[in-house]
Amino acid sequence: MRFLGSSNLRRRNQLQNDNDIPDLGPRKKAAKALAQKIIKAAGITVAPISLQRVIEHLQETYTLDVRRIEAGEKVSGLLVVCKEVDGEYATIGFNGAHPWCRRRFTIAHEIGHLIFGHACHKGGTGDDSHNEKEADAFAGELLVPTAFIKKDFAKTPNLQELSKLYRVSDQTLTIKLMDARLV
Amino acid sequence: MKKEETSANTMGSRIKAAREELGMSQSELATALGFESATAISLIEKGERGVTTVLLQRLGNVLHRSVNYFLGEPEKVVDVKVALRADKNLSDDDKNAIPRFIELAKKKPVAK
Repeated sequence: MRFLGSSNLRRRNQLQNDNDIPDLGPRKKAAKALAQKIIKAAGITVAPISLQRVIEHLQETYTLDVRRIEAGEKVSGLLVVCKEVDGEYATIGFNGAHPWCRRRFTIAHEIGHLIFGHACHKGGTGDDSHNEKEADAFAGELLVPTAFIKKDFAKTPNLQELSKLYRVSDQTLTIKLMDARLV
Repeated sequence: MKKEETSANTMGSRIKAAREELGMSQSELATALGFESATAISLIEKGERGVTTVLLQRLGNVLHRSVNYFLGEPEKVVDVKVALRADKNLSDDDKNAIPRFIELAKKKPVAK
């Protein structure tokens, strides 16, 4: 299977490198817009966001596999992109020992890295805080889309109930509520 | 020229294919390799200029291919990129878990 859109990805990466300025604003905005686009394309209209459906949607474009990584508490997850002569394929690993909502965030975060072409040759922990923040912004919007939370918050202005509904941590939801200027 | 040495099967044409797949121009490749002009690349791709072993390795690095690719031999995974989400102070067990997972990930999933 071909890694569709890889040339587009490459072009976008080049653009990003050219504009590598300290301000993350535009990149964060773009990350959120992309998350919204994916949710729409995957046909998701209500919380909780089904990552299964997001992944299946992405598999129409990417050769993508998601599986557990057997590792200690400190490893959340990782993205591995392998290039072969006739294409590319990606594997997302998540720590199966982590609580469910944390696994969801990890997978969403790694999907962000995949889409933004962040994977690199350095094996160490990602020190590029811009890339990390971009992937976080993407993951936050993917799991708790602003348009969804605005509606649900108007109905149920309760942090615990909303985080249960969205299957995210209280922390993720709080960040989102602040970001959407709801609190 | 032997029969199997058709134009699609020469080292030059393989270099060209790898370059084009990356969307690189001849002059961009020339610059990456430290050549003065695109002419050198043009000649290499047409098979009118020889390629030293050192240059072949550098071509592999620049074009993200294994040397095997240029020789027309089956190529395994040539490039692995990773984005890791983890704390900084990992235990040795965790550090070992990561390459183990990468090895697993290298095995191509069955196409869906």
